[in-house]
Amino acid sequence: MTPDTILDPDAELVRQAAQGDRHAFDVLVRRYESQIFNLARAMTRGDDEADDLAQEAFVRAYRAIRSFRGDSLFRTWLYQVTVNVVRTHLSSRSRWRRLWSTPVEAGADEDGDAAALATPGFEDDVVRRDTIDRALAGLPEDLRVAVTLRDIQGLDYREIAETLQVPMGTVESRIFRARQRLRTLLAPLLGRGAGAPALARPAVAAGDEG
Amino acid sequence: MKGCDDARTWMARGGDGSLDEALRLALAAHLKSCAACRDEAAGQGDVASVLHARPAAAVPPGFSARVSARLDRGASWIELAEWRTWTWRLVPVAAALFLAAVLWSGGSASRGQAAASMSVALVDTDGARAAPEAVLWDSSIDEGLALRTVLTGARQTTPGEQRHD
Repeated sequence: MTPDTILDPDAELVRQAAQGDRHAFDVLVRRYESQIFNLARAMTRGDDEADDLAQEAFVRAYRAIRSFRGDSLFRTWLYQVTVNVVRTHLSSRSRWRRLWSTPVEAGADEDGDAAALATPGFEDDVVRRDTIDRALAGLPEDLRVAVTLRDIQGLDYREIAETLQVPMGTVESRIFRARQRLRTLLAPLLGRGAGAPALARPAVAAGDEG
Repeated sequence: MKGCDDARTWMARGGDGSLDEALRLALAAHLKSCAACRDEAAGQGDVASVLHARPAAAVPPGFSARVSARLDRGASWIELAEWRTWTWRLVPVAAALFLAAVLWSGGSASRGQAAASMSVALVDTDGARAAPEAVLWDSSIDEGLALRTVLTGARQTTPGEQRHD
């Protein structure tokens, strides 16, 4: 499917927002606040940090909305803005941490992961989410973003390629490698989640059907 | 299919159901015969399932209101920083200045032309054809002289005025 054939459900609101209609943009904010906040949260692990970054993403999107030409879905473009905002933030934070962090702190973080996995009431949503986010945080940034966009946000490969501005093959490779690593990092959840609905299994293991 | 490398590439692509029928069948055949790839495919599916079922974090209350407030608060600074915005807003001012400049220069030219005409009239030796009202535009001429010129219809000269006739 080419971008020209995509019917963007946000097109009219985007057009109005580009003409300065703040109400139209407010509707877009409410429509995507959960996705954008959760994307930022999955990439940063902190509610406050994610809140700030998601806000920043929307503010930047509003500033730049006149430059959005509709070459992709608005949603894809908004994800792209968000990923750029978070990446910029992580990059600057990483530089700061390199100056101040010590190996002891890194080890303490791993202990925290283990403690979370051993927490009673493990099925609790908050703990489960935190465990997943910790596992994601253990991935290199390029793998983390790709697998988050695919398996948490539900974007298809083409949208992810557009969002990250990389070839489809790169997206496929990153997602494959991310899942490989997460299989180890999420082992406790995978072991316990055998009965969970296999939402992605039919597609990934399509060959099993043949 | 060349082997496990291709199978793994297609496992990923199969995640979107974007494999064509021939590749899908080839992948299925490979998975049947390759335990390692079968295990890999299962692992990929399991991880995807866990991630897909990740409980979404609730958006902090008042999030959209805070975005809106930031947009309101930042509007003036953002617009100031955006040169296109303020340059467009200056267009009416620039147009007004341009118009004023044109009018001013046009007026100056008219006055200059009038003064030149008047000067010609003053040096005209034929007093009967001189236009008295033109004399009134010459600020250098004494008011009494101008009045006498108008009333009598005869051209008067000031003491310092040169005659060319």
